[in-house]
Amino acid sequence: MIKIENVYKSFGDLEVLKNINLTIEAGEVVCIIGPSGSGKSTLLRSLNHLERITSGRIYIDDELVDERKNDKDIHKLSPKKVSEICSELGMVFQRFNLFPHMTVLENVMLAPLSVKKVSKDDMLRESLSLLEKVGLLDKKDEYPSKLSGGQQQRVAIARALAMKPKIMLFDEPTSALDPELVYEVLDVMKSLAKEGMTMLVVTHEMGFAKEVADRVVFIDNGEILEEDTPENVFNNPSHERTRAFLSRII
Amino acid sequence: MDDRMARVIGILIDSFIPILKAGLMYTVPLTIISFFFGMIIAFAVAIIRVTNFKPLTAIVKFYVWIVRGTPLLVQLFIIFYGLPTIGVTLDAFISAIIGFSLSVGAYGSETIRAAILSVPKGQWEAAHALGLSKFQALRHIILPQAIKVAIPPMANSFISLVKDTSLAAAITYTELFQVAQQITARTYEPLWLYLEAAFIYLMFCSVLSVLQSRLEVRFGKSGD
Amino acid sequence: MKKRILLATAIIMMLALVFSGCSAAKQTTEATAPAAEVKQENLLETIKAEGVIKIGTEGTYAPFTFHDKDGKLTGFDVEIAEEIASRLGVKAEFIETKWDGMFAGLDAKRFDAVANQVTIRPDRLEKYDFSSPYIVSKAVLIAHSDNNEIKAFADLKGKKSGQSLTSNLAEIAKSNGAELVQVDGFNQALDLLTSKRIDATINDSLSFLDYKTQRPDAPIKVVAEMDTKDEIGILFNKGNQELVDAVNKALADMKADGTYLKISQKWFGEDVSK
Repeated sequence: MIKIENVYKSFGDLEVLKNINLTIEAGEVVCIIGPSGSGKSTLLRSLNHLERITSGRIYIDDELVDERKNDKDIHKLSPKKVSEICSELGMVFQRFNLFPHMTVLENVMLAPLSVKKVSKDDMLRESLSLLEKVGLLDKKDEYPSKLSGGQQQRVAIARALAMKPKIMLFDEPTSALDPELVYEVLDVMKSLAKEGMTMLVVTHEMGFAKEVADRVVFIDNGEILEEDTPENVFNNPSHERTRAFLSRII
Repeated sequence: MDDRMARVIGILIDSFIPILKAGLMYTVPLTIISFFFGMIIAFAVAIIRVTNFKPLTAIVKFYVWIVRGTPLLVQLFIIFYGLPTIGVTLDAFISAIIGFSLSVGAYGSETIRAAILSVPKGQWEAAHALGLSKFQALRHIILPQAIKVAIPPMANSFISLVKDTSLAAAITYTELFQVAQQITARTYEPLWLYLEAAFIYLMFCSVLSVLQSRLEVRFGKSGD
Repeated sequence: MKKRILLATAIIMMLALVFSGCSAAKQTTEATAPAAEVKQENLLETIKAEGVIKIGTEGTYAPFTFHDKDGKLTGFDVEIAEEIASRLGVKAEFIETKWDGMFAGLDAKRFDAVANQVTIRPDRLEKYDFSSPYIVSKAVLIAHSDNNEIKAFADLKGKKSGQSLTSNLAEIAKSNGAELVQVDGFNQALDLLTSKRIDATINDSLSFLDYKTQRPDAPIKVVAEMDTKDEIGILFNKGNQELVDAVNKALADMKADGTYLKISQKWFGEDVSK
């Protein structure tokens, strides 16, 4: 589904990603863990062009969607193509980024109506069922400011799902939530995983990773140091730095 | 002294309607129309700047620089008295509208640009991640939020414009203030007549201030 | 709801545009000249063909060009111009312009002539043409009633005098060593004078008389009169000799048949051509 090949990313002199090679298969749930500043978010955001890689290749669904060298495009994409790729990738942000001037329902319906030009009636039905799936049907006419953090994030998930993406990207989805609200979001993510959605999750929630991930990837200082099943990574890490990181968290 | 006051009061009473009428027939339409076109220019320029639309960005920056850097009166003079030398002769009303619209457009574009920039980056990112184009993002997500922020400074601009229109008299457009000056010329009571003109301007601007409050309420609806 | 507000706004905008366009059209210059069938029609012929002579004037300089109680433009200069126009067989259309824009307006051909107490001066004659004089102006030096220092024009040296820039009166003040304070018009000059922000102002004896008639209580007085009188004429762009000649003929006729005297008496109670 996703193939990341020899990806480097520098911000000026600061090298943030060094020779990243990673493959995600369809239906896989892969969790990326690591210390702050290790480049995990940057990697995720490179997939939908929120960050542009310095060099390397990215394939989505076996199609080359990015090829760059020295911060220049080798394979250039039109804005329309980029938009298409973004439609395939649903993204959930750490700070939700809901549209505050629209109701919950409007938030969910906006993108499909504008981008995919689905009929309003069809979209209404689908949106309502998505909201029901994340447990927020009764809040459909509320404005985001009236919802708790956990509720907002669940709306964000429904909004991303509305575009029927093939892959869901989660960028530290629960890091900004009060602890007691984290579970409601993780529950939604777990049920998504059960349904077979391909998910790439940057997170600090080790419990979630242990329970749901097919693979855990540990990135430190821009490099993938560890890539294995959760059992192996958590119980028997091969790298010293992995051990050090885990001991600080768990 | 009483004779003088009686005379002054008489002048004020007689002149109130003519000055008010000039305001309603000349000052108000000039203000509204100039502001309308000015806002269109301001939005267009701001969007070009924010999306960095390569072909037009340089031209637009130049326009803002020139218009903000030269006095409005000089701009009006150039349009009305200068253009005829290259064969373009426009009447006073049109010249005034062009001058004021360009002015509102230049200053307004900076206000709107700032308002757009004040919308959190995360909004752009969410829109992008959902597959919305830059223009779709602007239309549905960014501008609605930016407008809320832009209302107080733009209302300011509008209220200022009401009074700036008095410059139009310099290019033969007889509006509110010019009528006050005409009456002053005959009666030699400038202070009282200018106070009266100021009062009438105040009336117009107060209406606008109320409108501003209403607009802020309407756009602030999404619960803050 | 949003759509209705948008629609209402658009309609108001349209109405405002139409309404003001109609009223503005009445009081502004025509942008287009009529198609000249003849190749080089001179200005006089154009004026006669259109039936209108456009005249620049301030409209704020009593008693020469100002608006009366009913708001109608009138005054000595205005009536002289109207009489000249009728003798040319056309109507006079006045374009009210601020003094600062008067010469620019003539240069830009927004009007055909200026009737606004424009003094005939050598430097102006280099660039423009004048009609024969239609009024003789006596400049007077005006000071505050309390002022006992300024008794003659020479006393202006080092003192502040309020004048319109580029006016003939400004030249007189300057040549007497006065420090010029720029004003928009006679009214402003008098205001500055009564509030003692300036020491004096030079203006036309007739304007002063008009002011004193309206404001008998004003604390100002005439302290000196110029010996020399200035001649005032109608101003034209160079290259329109036919028009100047026609206007001069009209003026001569007016003086000959007594019309001029009638207008002069009406406004000043005397013959102001001398």
